[in-house]
Amino acid sequence: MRLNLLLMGIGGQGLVKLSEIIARGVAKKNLPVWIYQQKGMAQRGGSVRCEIRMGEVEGSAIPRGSADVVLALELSEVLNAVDWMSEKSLILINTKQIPPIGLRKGGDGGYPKKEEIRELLKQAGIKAIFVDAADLAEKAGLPIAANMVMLGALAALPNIKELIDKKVFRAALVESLSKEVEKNLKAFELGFNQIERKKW
Amino acid sequence: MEKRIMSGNEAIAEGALEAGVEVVAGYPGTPSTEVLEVLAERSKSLSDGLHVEWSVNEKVALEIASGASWCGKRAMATMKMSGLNVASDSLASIAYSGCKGGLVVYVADDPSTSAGMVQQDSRFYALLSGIPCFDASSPRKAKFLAKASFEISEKTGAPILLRTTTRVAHSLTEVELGKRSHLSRPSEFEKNLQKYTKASSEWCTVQHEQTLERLKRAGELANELGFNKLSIKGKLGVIASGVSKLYVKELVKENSLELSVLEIETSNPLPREKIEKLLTHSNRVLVLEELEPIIETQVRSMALDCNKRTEILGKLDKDEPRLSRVGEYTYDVVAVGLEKLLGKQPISPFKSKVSGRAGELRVQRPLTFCAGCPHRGTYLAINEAIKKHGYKKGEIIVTGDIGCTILGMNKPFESCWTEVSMGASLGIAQGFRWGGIEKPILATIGDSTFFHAGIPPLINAKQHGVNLTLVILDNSWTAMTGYQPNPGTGLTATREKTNPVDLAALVRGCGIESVRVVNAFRKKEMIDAIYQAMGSKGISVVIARGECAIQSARRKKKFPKVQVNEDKCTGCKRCMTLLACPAIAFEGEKARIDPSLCDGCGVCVCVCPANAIEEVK
Repeated sequence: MRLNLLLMGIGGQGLVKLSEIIARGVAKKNLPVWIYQQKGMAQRGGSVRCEIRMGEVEGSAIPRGSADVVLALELSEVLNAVDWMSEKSLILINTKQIPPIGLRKGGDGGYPKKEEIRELLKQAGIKAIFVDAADLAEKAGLPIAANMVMLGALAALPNIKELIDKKVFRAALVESLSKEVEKNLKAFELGFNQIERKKW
Repeated sequence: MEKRIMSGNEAIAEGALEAGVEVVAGYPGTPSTEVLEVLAERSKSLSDGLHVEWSVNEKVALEIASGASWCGKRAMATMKMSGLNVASDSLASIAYSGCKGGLVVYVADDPSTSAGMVQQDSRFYALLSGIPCFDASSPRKAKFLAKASFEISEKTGAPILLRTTTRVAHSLTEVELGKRSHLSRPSEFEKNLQKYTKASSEWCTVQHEQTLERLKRAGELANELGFNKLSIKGKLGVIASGVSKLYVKELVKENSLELSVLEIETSNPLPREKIEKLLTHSNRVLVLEELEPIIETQVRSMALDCNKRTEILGKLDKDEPRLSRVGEYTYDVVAVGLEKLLGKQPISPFKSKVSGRAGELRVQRPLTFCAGCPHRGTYLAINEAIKKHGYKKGEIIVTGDIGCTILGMNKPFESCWTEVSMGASLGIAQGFRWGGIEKPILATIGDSTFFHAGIPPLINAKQHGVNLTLVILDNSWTAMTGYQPNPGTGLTATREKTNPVDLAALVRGCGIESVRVVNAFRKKEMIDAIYQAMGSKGISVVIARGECAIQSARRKKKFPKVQVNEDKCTGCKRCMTLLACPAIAFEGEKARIDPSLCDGCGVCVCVCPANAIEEVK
C-alpha cells in the first residue's frame, strides 16, 4: 500500500498545521509516514507546498505524475501541482482566490478563472472537486478554519476513508489544536459532509 | 523504543543530545535553523549546563564551538552553506589543530535554492580543509550520523562536517528516540603551541600531515561502524549519496531491478576499498550525487587504477544525456540516470499533458513585506527622498543586503539593485563610487546583517571618506529566518535577558559623525532624514527603527487599527500601488483594509492623498 498526498497553498493559510494533523492521523493507524515541508518564504505571501506520503515509501518526494490526492487551499495554486497529477489523481480545490498583490488593482487582471482551471483539468482527464471552504468556515463561525474544512473534505474521499477513519482525523485535530477546537471540528464536519454527499 | 515524527534538523539536534553535546553555537539560515532552535528550547528544561547560542556570525560560532572542544567538551556549530563560507577561514585553521572533545560542524546545502542564494556544494570545504564529511539521506540517518560524528571526531581528533540538503533537513518521518547523555567532563586546555598556533612553517607542515592522518583514520572508523553499505547483485552498479539513495531504493523495489548498490555516507574520505570492489564486479556504474561531481571524479580515477574497463556514468559522461550539476535531484532525474545504466526504458519519466497550459495560467507571487512591516515605510521614504533630490525612479543606485530588507527590490518599491552576501551592500557601494558613479549612492542593510558583517566595510568607508548614505533597517530581530534574537534584541537564543548593543552608539563609535535615528513609521521624518543624509559629504547613516511586526504582534503590542472612510476614498489606488500591503485590497472602486490582517502601522494613512484612511475609534 502506498498513498501520495500533495498539499498546495500560500503562506498564512495553515498548510503546515494541516500537514501535521494529517501526519498525526496516519501515525495513529501505525502506517509509515513521510512529510516534506517547503519553507522559507511562507510568511511573506509566497507559494507553499507540502508532500505527504504514507505506506511503503522510501522518502518524502512524490514522483511526478503520482499524486493520488492533491489538495489546494487556494484556487490558482492548484496550477503549481499539475506535474504531479495523472488520470488517477483526485483533486480537491478550495475556490478561495488570493490574487498576488501585484494583481490586486481593482479587477482580477491576470488571475485565472475557475472555469479555465476546471477546463484544463478536464482536458487532462483529471477529476477535480471544488469546495467553497471559505463559506463553510464562515458558517462554522471561524473564517480562518478553511484548512479544517478541506481536511474534512479530504477525510471523506473514498481512498482516504479506506485507510483512515474520520474519527482518527478528528482525534488528531483535537490533539493538534489548542484554540477554538469546537469551531474547527464543526468546520471539519461541514467539509466532510460536502464530499460525503457526492456520488462516486 | 519511543518514536516521534521529526524533521532531519530535529533529528540532528536529538543525535547531538544523545552524544552529550555541551556547547552549541550557530547563525540562523534556511535550511539549517531548526537544529539550534530545538536545542535552545530543550536546554531550558535540561539544566545540565548545555549552552546554546545564536552567535553574531558563523565564524564566531565555529570559534566558540572549537574553543569548547579544545577544553574537552563535545561541541557543535550550525549554519547554512553561505555561513560556511564566512566560517571557512577559521575552519581551515581549526582542521590543522584538530579537536579534543568531539567537534561537529553542521551545514545544510540548498541545491534547489528554496531560500535563495547559491547552489553551493559544501563538500568542497571538507576537501580543502582535510576534514571528514558525512552526508545524511533521511532524518533517521541524520540522527545516527550526528551521534556517530561526535564519537569519530573525538576518537580521531578530526572536526567533522555533517551535511544535509533541504530535502533531508525539512523532511519528517518517524525516528526512534534515545537518551540524553550527560558527560560532565572536567574543563582543561593544555598549552601546546605546536598544535594551536600557526607561526612556524615546520609546525604547520606537521599539522598538515596530522590532519591527513586523522582524516584517514576517521574513514576507517566510519567503515568499522557500518557506514557506506555495499550490496553486490549483477553486473550493473550504482553509487548513491544523500537523498538520491532513497530514490534508487524505491525505483529498484518498484521495478524489481537487479543492481549492486553502494550507499555513500562518507563523501570525504571515500570508501576506496568498497568502491574498488564494486568496480571490479560491475561492467557499468552510475554515480548519483547532487550538485558537483566530487564522488564521480574520484571514482573515475579509481576505475583507471583498477585496470578494468568499467564504464562510469554521471555528470561527466562524454555523451548526452548527462546528469545535471544544477538543482535538486528528484525521482525523475534518478530515473533518467537508471535508464542510461540499464540501456533500456523500464522507467519512463512522467510528462503531464497540460504542463504548458498550466504554466500560462500560473500566478507569480513576488514576496512583499508583511502587513505592519517597518521596512515598507523606509523604502517608501527612500524613493521619496530620491525624488526630492530631483532624480527619477530607477536613477539612483541602492545596494541591498541579505534578509527581509532585500524585498525592497520587489514591486512597488523597486529600490534595491544588488544582493551579494552578508554586509556586501556597503562594500559594493564603495566600489560603485570608485568605479565612477557620481550621483548619490545608498546602501540598505538590516540590523542583524549589519552586526554580522557590516562593521568592517563601514569603517573602510570612513577611512577613505566615501560619499555614501547607509540606511540600517533596524527591526530588532533576525526576521527572515524565523525571528531569532541578535545582539541588538536584548535576548539570547534561550530567551534570557541580556544587555542589547546600542546600534547608534556602535555606528558613532566607528567614527561616523552623521547618524540619524528615525521612527520608520513616520513618513515625513524618514524622508527628511534620508534627504539630508544624501546631501551631506562623507558617509551618513540613517537608522530606521521599528520592530518587526510579527514579533511585536506576538508580544501583543497593539497599535490602533485603521479603516477606509468610503465617503472620502476617491479610488485612486495609491495606497495599493505605493505600498503593496497584504491588508489592503480593492472592492469595486473603494479601498478596503482587512481588519484581520491590518497591524495598525499607519503608513497607509500618510500616503492617502484624500485623507480617507482613519484610525478605528
